[in-house]
Amino acid sequence: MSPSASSAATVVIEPRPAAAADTATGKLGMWLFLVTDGMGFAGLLIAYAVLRVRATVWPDSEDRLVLAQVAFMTAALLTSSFTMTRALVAARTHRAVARTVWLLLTLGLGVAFLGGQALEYRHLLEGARPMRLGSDAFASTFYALTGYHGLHVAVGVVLLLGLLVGRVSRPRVWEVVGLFWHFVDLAWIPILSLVYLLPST
Amino acid sequence: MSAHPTTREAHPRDAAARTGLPAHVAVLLALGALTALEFFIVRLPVDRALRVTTLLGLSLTKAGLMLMTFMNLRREAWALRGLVLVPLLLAPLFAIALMLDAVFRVGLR
Repeated sequence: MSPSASSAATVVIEPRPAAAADTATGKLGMWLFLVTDGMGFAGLLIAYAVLRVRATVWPDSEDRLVLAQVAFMTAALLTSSFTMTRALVAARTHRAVARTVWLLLTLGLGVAFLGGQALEYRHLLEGARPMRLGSDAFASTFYALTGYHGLHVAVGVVLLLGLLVGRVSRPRVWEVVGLFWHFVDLAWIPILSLVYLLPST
Repeated sequence: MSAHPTTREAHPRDAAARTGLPAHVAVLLALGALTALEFFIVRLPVDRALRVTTLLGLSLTKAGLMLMTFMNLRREAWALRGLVLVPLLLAPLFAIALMLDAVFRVGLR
């Protein structure tokens, strides 16, 4: 190399690998979506809390809801977050069998949660004192909150099925779907506390 | 030539063994224990305000655990952490403010 060439100030900008850029974009997009979706949940929860405080009479959740069933549903959802994390780890380390097994477990737990919710709705709608959407403020807020959450679980199950059926192996896709699945679990935490467990006056 | 020719590159399966299985199990157990505590606390014969405060505290702890470990927010850039955490902390603050306002208005009736 000639001295003149070596002294020339040249700046070489390495192009960012496309995969890394995609990962960052996909994850950021999902985080932004989750924040806005979280605002939807926050709005519903705030509406529930304000309606509850303003009401002169609010039914005790134990009079209408079966807490043992809710405990089972919560356990299924919490465990599914763990299995999803393990599926993601397996996807990152390119272990196809482990990835599929953990994904099937996550799917099973998600479906179990949805089944539990369907049974709960049936119990409420067909019980001795049916609780319909327009029965009272408790009923409408309960169905709005749990229905909105259940819709998210159903979407999550469809996304997991997509991973399974499409035989997706790219870890970045698993990471983005995993974020959504964990969010579904995260959203359940305040619903459990506020709607199911918070004692009435 | 490498100064340590006997040192081998880490195999992906070695990394798999260190991918945090004990940590993930610990988080799952912690979440389960905190949830069990929530179910237990609502049945305790103590002041309602204390039960409600404890319940909300446990709920926030579980959400924080979930965000930081399973969702790996602690490993994200500070800007993203702020983007996620600020609205999530503002939401309960708004809820408390609105509930206090509602309590005040009901009291005035």
